[in-house]
Amino acid sequence: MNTPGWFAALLQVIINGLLVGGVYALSAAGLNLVFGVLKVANIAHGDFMMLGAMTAYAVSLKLGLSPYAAMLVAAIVLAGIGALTQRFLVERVIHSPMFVSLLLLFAVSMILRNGALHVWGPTYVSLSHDSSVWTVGPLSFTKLRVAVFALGLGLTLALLWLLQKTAFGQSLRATAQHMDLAEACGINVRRVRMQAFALGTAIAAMSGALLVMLFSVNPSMGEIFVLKCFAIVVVGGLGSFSGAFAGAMIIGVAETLTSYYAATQLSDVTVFLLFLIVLVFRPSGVLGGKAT
Amino acid sequence: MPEPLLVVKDVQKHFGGVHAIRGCSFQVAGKSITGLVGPNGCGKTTMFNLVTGTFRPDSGAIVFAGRDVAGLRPHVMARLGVARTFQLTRVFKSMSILQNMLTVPSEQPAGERTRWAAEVLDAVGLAGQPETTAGNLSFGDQKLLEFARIFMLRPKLVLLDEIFAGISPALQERQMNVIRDFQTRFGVTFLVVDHTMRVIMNLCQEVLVMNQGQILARGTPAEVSHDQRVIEAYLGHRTTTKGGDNRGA
Amino acid sequence: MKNSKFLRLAPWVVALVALLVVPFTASGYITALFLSLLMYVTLAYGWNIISGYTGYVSFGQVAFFGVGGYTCAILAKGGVHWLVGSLVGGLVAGLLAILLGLVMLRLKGAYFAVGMLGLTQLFVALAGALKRVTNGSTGIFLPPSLTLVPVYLTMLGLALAAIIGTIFLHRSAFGLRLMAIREDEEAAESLGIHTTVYKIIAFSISAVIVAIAGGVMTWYVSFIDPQSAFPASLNLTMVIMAVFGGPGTVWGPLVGATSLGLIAELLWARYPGLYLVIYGIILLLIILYIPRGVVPSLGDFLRRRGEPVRKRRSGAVA
Ligand SMILES: Nc1ncnc2c1ncn2[C@@H]1O[C@H](COP(=O)(O)OP(=O)(O)OP(=O)(O)O)[C@@H](O)[C@H]1O
Ligand SMILES: [Mg+2]
Repeated sequence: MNTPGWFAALLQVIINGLLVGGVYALSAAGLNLVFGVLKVANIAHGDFMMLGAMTAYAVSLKLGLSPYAAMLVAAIVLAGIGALTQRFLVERVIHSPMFVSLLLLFAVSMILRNGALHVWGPTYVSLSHDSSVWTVGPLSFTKLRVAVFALGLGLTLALLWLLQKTAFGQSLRATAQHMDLAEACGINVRRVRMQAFALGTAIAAMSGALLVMLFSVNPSMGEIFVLKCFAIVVVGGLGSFSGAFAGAMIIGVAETLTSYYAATQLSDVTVFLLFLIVLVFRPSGVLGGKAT
Repeated sequence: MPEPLLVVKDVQKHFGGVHAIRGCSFQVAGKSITGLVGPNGCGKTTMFNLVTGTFRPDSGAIVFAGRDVAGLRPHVMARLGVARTFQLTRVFKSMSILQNMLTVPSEQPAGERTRWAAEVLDAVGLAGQPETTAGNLSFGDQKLLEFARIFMLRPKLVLLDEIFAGISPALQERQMNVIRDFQTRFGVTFLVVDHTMRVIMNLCQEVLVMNQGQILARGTPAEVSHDQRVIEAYLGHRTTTKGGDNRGA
Repeated sequence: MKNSKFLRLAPWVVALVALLVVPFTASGYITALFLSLLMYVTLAYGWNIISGYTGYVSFGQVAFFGVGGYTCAILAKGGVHWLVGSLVGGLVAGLLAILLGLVMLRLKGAYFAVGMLGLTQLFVALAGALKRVTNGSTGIFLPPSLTLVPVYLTMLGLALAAIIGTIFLHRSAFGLRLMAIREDEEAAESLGIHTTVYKIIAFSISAVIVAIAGGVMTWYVSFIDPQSAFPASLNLTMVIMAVFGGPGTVWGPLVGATSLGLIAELLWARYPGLYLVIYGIILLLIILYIPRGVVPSLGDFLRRRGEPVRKRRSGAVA
């Protein structure tokens, strides 16, 4: 092969970014779902991801489950936690001004993050179990990354299918578009909101469980990841699932590019800068998604 | 005919695919009370939003007191003397009646402003307890407060968006008197949107009829109400004599 | 007449004198405790101006705490007196807030809140990355301050300034217009209020207050690094204290900061990990049961009980 070295390296970095992007896409889809149906900015989303990651880690270690089985357990547990959070907390302020639900979820975030820090301590954990690679010419693909990407992508597509093709998805979309009208049509919007939030936290949990297979994380991870998810959603245009998918890829690649060519510490700078620039100058997303 | 205070010329406005204002042109004579009527969704509120700078017209001219004002920001329009009420009442709910009035910036010295606030509140019939929290007022009183508040701007042109909707005939009468009073005493010009034909007939010297984003007809209330095109525009929409109620924004 | 005015002011004078003698008479521990409380009071009042009065809920005012801290540290390292350094820090933060406000305050509701959170993370990352200026994650060490007294008195002055400033703000036309923006920005604009200018001024004042506190505290702990400059815990506590007491009120931040500040100091010593959890729970309960905060709710309660309300709260503009 006569690919120049620098080009192969660049390609490799971009591929790595795209592979991480699969998980980001999944997580951002969860955030989008909750925002769409409940019109609530879930600022605790990153902490639900963290709970998913920590639960998967604990379950896998204690029960000896495979990381993938542990991911499912985490999803179920977090769906329950999400349902309770929605039913007893968020639902009670659903008709209040935006900042009330924002402060409420801010409180939930504090409790989850600091509670988790109390229980598990600040040590980093990881479920990374496999480091074998496929080699294609000058490029190498970590098998685990590919698997995680495929899972992230598959779950995102499954969610889209659920939303587009099922009666359940129909009721979610109806509520997202017109809460009053949906109610008038006999949809139990309270239940729909609970289902949407539970599904959103379950998705957060799965993406957290996938992340803990790739990286080391600790109970503070939510602080950064909630912003990454907002960045993705904003870059892709709020409420647009295909936009969020593209946004996830953009953020993933931007991150790995910065880490590789500048410095690892700067990767967050890039992400937040991108986030702020898009938020302020293109609030409808770089892809011109739905305006808000 | 007196000098026009407001001239709207060939204004267009789209919202995505919706062509809300389609080459709208009209004039409002200075010191007049002009009505603006038309079926639901014909673009009356949008026209107000264009004149007050909330929206920028896609094309066309908006001339106020001899100056092209299209696209100026709302606060600038307010300072120039264009005041408006909102179709859905927007008082500052956590503030008192008096605070609502005194929030409005003006060059007047404080004492003069407070005196003027009291005078306006008295005129609309809200002088009773200026310390009452606006959010605790009845729906009708909130409408009165919003109406009173715009006079703190000492406006030249006042745009009223359905201030008579959903309030009692007695209160409507009172508001009409205030409008006439400000017109004669201070030379304020009014452009009044309403579906309550009794009010429009009584109050306005001239009526503009809008349909599908254009001015369809203009004339005295009597002329307009007998215009065949106007009757057709309204047909199937609503009876033109009934008071306004539960309509969307 | 004169007598009653004196009687009303007397408790405040006593409290002020008591606060003034604390650093000269009390133990180091008590003085440090009071210093913390005064810092909480200052920060809660700072947050209250942009978020309580203007309604732009910020989850990132701590960004200015760090800006003030770094400015003070860098200047102090270069031989400038720390007090001057802190004031310059306030100035820098105030100017920065004007620039940032031009873009950030275009965001509404949740966008602004989350945007400010992102901005803070950006500052943390930048503080770590700009090693030439900030010395990166190693941080900047300052000579340890030998006495608490000047730091304490400065913070007392700052807290008082914030409180008195808020009293005036609440009665001023300026404050009234900030509240109008909070209630309904579009209506405020239609009444001739140049909302952008008002919001940026409020944001900038808030930044100045928070930044000066950041400078003073940095001198007090004689050290700054990206983590201590933008402490996540402070970011949370200033929001919670103001919301607990009553955002957009004159006395809410004082009540919230002193009561929760005391709890924080007690819990902090015993359960360093848990106090933020407890804080979160308090915030939850407040939002669910008394969303307007303690001070307005207590006021309502007393009024319903038929107690004569002495203070005539006519926030009317003079
Ligand atoms: N902000 C907006 N975005 C999109 N479409 C809009 C917007 N404002 C108005 N429209 C559309 O423009 C058209 C005119 O609306 P407008 O509110 O001006 O009617 P109106 O004459 O005031 O009606 P009504 O008597 O019911 O108040 C409608 O089709 C409406 O849906
Ligand atoms: Mg209308």
